[in-house]
Amino acid sequence: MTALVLRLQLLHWRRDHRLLTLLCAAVLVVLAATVWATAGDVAQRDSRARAAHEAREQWEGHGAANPHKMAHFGDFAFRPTGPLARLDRGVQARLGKVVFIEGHRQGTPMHADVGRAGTVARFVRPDAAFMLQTVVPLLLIFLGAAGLARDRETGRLKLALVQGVGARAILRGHVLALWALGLVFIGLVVASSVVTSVVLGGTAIESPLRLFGFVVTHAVFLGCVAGSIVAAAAWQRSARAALLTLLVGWVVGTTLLPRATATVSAAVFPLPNRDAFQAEMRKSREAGADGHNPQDAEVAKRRAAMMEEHGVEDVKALPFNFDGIAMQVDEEFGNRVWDEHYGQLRQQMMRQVFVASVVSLGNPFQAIDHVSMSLSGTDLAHDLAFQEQAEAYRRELIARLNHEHAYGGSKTGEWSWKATPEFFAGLDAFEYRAPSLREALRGRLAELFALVLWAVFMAWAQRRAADRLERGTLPC
Amino acid sequence: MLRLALRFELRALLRGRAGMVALVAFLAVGALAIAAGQRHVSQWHEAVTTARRAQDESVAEARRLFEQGAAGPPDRPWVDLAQPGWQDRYSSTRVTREPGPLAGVAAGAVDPAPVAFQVSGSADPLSAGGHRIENPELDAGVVDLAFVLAVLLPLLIGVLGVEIGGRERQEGIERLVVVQAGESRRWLIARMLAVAAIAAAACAALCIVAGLVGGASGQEIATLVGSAWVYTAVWSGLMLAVNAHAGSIRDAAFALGTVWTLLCILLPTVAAEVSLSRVEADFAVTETLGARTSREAARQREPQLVVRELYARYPELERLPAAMEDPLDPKVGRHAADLLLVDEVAARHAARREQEQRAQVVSERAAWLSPVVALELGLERMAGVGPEAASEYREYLMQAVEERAYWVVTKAWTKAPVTQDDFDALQRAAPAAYLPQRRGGSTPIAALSFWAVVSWSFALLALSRAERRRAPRR
Repeated sequence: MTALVLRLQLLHWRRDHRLLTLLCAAVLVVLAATVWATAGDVAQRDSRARAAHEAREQWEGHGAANPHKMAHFGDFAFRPTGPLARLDRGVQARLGKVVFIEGHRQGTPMHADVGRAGTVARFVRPDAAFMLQTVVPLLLIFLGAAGLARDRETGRLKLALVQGVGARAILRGHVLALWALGLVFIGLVVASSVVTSVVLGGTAIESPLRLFGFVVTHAVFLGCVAGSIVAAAAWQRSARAALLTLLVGWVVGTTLLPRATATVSAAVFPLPNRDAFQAEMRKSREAGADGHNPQDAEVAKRRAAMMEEHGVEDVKALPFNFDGIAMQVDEEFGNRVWDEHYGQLRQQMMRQVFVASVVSLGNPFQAIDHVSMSLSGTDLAHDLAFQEQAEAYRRELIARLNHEHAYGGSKTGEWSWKATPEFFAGLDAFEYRAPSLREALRGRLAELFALVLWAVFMAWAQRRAADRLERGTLPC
Repeated sequence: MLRLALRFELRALLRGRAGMVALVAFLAVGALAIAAGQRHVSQWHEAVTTARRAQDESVAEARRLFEQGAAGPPDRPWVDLAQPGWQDRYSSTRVTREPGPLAGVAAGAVDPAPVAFQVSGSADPLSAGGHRIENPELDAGVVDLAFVLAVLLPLLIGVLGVEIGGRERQEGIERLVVVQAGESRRWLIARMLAVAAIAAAACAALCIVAGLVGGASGQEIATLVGSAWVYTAVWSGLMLAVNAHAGSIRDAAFALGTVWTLLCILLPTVAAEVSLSRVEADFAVTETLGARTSREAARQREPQLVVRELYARYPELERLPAAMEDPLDPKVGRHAADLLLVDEVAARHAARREQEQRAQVVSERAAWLSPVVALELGLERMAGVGPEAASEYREYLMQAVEERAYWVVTKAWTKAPVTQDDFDALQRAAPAAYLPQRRGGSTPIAALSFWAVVSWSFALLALSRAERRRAPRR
């Protein structure tokens, strides 16, 4: 019977010209959005690779230079797009794309897209994930809310129940029809994205495991949506009531609740303003070593210790360049300051994200949005991973430059001494490694649990509705 | 009839649960949005205060050193306040951006510029981010009054007005209305106007509270309320057009849901896509790699060539004492490259501003496609926040930086040590705090008016067609 209901439902959609037109239009819109987003992602990857290559050429082509001068010449880390950014661009447009890697200070990502895209940049971008999480559910609501109601209005439901057909089988048929349609959309999105990427010279599938996760979680989500639509249609007495309930749920879930969550978590766990944050950091920084100040107490202490260790009276008599050591003392103190302040800031951000995770237990739209971003590598956690890796690279680079400055062959005070171009070319370029799938999903357990919970709840609601339909306590 | 309809709708509002819940929820969310907006404004004030405090501390330190007759702090022997470069640094000039009285209304707008910036001869306004440290996962959706008006107001009108026409048809009382009122069209229009009046009153209440809390003038509040009313007119017109076509309440809800989704969600996202896709492949290579290359090139050029270029751009410097020396004092000469670099920063800044203006053209065009974008744009301009305000503030900063760099060079070229009087004069000449410019909101207001006229014309046309269609044939 389930198969029969499923076939009937699909046949009805095919025969109703209005619904068929709506479906075709939705397919075209979803395909267009996916192809466009994939093309944009491929272009962005190319552009990023060119920029990184140019930065490397500048670094290697600089020639002989004093290592500390090169620490100020600096390098640039360009943020790569997430492994599945072509499907879900997440919060990428709001993130700075370039970090300046320099001695003495930790860089902040700059040049976010939203800062250059005008007023409309505050709106969400339509990509495959947006379509699957927002537009497809709406389409399923419009298609599905009337499905069971039609059976009820035409008396088909009563007839089927009188003839001994199980209500569970009927409801299951309606759910499967809607879910199948949702799965078709997922398939279309994945296929069109892969084809577009291949045609444009990008990689077909960058991370199969993440893609698998994307497909599975969206399938579960659309299953929840299909289940909730049929459950609402069964529980409500009329198609109108069901449609209104579902539309209100959709508006609240996609538009109101995410914003309300953002507002509440920003109020509960406020972030400092940039000026106050930087002023605090500057204050902490000024309290410690300053490598450029020969009279700095910390540097002087280290200098005295080194001179005593080597039994010399004059710093210039040391067998190495103490300036490089002083710079590293400065760096290490600065690193502790950054770790403390940025650590607190990140903790506060993660607390805010935790609030959103908790709220997502009650809102599957938020749950799938968060999980999808994590799977695609376009969420806050991936951005923080990029910043941490860029900072680790900075520390490694500056430490090696300071080491060369100290032990490369110069003596203290020889600022005109230059290291060879080969030395600079031998330093590794920045390379970003995206967190593993397990790392990516570690912070999204609440959301994954929420999706499972909603799936179970919807199955329960349907069973209960089916039982009540059979008992006659719900109108049929 | 309007009075009768208003009484009818008010009674329906008081008796019906859905309408009352929707109205109360709208007002409650609006009140929360105003509170969130005020929080944003107080953080802004806090940032400005922090910046001013930092400036005062730096200036106080410099004055103390002048009084002591010291060139600089004892632990920094290289500092010499008799040099213009050090006076520039110690003056620590912060150019602040004051929030306008309606800044909280559009607290969720993208605003990439800081609210306080330290101007010096070598500063780059493009290197400073916004004053808020933002959690990108939360930043995508903040509830501000702009959101409440643009997105929730249509839903309120929808809940209050979805029954208009549909209920009469569904319950078969349309004929009765025609008999009693002459025609159903006037009754439906009167009912919709009554619903619009209720929604407009709710909007006005929120706008007035937001204006009063922010300390806005009567004119500013009136403009805010006026914009909200035009927007109410747009959506009541659209609601009426939908109701004229709909055969039942369900059809009306379905159609309004579609229109709302299209205008409030889909079209703005398409506009965002168009605008963002233009910049997504831009990794700011000019501002990063290009800037570094030109900085390096300037530092490595022969001093004579740098000075020659400087005199070509600023011929008045050739008449100052330093220009008479041959060769030029290297201490003085190094400022020449700095000034030329500031010119390059200004050129990059102008290019960025052009890019931002092009992006804003997309937003302005999108305002004609979606009234939501028109209202958001209009409110941003009224509030003095958003990308346009940020861009203008950066331009103001860039002028201040250019002037400061020029001051340093001219003082260095005079070859006379700068004194405390110069320092005080520098303080007095510091640019005033930037106040948001009152921009003409011509495009958003014109777009909203266009939408209001079109939606009501369409609604009236649809109503007369529907009436003709339903009239009994003679």
